[in-house]
Amino acid sequence: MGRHSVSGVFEMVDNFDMASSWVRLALEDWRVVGRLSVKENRGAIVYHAQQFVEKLLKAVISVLGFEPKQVHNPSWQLDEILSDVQLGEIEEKISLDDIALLEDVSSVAKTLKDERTRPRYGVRHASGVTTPNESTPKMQLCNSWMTLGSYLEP
Amino acid sequence: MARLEGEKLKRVRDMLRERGVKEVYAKPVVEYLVGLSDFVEIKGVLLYGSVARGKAVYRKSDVDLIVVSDDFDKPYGEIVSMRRRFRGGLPGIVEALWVSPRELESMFRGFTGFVLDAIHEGIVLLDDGGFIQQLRRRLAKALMEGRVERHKGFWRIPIREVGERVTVEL
Repeated sequence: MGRHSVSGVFEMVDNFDMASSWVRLALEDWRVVGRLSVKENRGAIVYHAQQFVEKLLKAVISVLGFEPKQVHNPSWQLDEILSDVQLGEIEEKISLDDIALLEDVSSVAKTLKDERTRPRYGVRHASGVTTPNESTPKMQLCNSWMTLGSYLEP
Repeated sequence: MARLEGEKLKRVRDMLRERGVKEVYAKPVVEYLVGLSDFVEIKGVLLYGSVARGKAVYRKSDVDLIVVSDDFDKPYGEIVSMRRRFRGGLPGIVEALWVSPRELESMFRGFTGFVLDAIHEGIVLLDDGGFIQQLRRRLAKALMEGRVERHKGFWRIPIREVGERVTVEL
């Protein structure tokens, strides 16, 4: 955790402090998802699922030493970072296994967020707004959590 | 309260003009600051974001400001209620972060990206006591010494290997 002065002001932070802050925030969304009913709160589940994954991705980006930008699609930021590492534009050693894992994380996140293909709160049809699929959010959340968890565990 | 007027206000206007900020954005900035100064003692103002970079899109871009005042050194709940009381008469196009010097320092040390962006490339419109310029010098020094890096718009703590824990001191 970050070192604080008596007044509560950060003295300094490190990449792990930044990441653990994002994980803490992500877990709030995870817990909300767990309390919601798939039957009655589908839209809210997907919203918090997206928030959960977004924040976990920001944790991963932070571990790599980067301050995540204020956007809702950090998987693209992660892709950009991984690409630049492989191109040698960033001097940071990441093993091929880790790169493959992080690309997997990014891919799972994109699937869950359904980025750039449909709004995460649902799609408007003539008959009204159709919220995202009932069962996939929680299932994909579990996948994301397991994938990310394996990376973030010390 | 020391209403923003006279020589101080002239300096704000001059800086906006010098930095080529279009009147359509400069006018609400001035109105905002003059209006807010009826309620708080403004110590520093940073214009950042698309307007500061000259990339604003007319009628689409907000005007981003960081306003620094000791009067904002209050619990967040009180700041929210201050915003509700004062916000009505101020131009809606301006999106301002209200912070005390202490909080700005904390966000700066906390490696908060948009604050670093603002300090690094924003336009300092007002800086009583030189607090903002001091942060800018510290950031420039950290960049020069390689303690922090800029990469394609990202702020980065230069770690050499994944799993390495590196502290950033700003």
